[in-house]
Amino acid sequence: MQMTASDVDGVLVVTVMDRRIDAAVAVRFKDKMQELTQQSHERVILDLSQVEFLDSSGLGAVVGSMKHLGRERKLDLAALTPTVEKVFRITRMDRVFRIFPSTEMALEAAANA
Amino acid sequence: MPDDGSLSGATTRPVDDRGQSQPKLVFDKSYPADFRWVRRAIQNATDELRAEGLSEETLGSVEIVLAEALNNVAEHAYPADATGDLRLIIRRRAKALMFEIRDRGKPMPKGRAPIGNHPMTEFNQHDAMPEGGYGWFLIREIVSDLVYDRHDDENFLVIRMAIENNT
Repeated sequence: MQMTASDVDGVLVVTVMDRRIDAAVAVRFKDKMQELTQQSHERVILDLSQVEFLDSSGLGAVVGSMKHLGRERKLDLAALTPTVEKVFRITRMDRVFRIFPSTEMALEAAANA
Repeated sequence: MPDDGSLSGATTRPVDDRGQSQPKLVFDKSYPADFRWVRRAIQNATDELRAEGLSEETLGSVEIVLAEALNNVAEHAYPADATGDLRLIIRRRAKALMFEIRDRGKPMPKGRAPIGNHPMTEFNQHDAMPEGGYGWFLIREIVSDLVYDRHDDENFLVIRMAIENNT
């Protein structure tokens, strides 16, 4: 699972480089998220612009990652591709997560908050 | 073989789709039932359907449905130490795609496909959010009809998904 993390003015931006977060890699995605978010950033933005597909296992891993961060830290999502957006919309997870069109817009929202 | 005539998972006997069109067989392949091969199966199937002229939006829905249904076989049908194969058959009609998924693993619990209710009752309870159980919900939300049947130790899941006229 190829994922990178970078600090942007105190916000951690995690970018998934793989094209799929599915049953084959969901556990590794969750492990990698835990590893990358060990520092205590209050806000994490998950950039999904490279991810073309996410299934229910991938969705569960994103939910699990959010829960692992705990109530004091926030996981926002950015740059969902059409099929990924469809999975979040159908499962109504778009009500649970803040979803931004791009990481840039997510970062601006943080600055305004 | 599924006995619901409107779905007609029949492999030997094409059934008229309410007089609309005869089904066209567009895909029939078998794969080992594991997550990696499921990726391959989905890739092969969507390539074939893209060549059939289906829209990217429809292909996205196909990908979601196939991932959930095939991974369910990979995860639940066979014991970890005795995996088997799954077979994916796709037929196309004027306004629908018919997916037939077969395997020779365990039957579905209680002999039925899960109802697929949304696993969450509240949408704001952070700690209570389930990390699984969204798969059948996704399938049921997207497809028009779904029938599960079992004959001669073989599972049949037959799914009908409506497609736009000009996909």
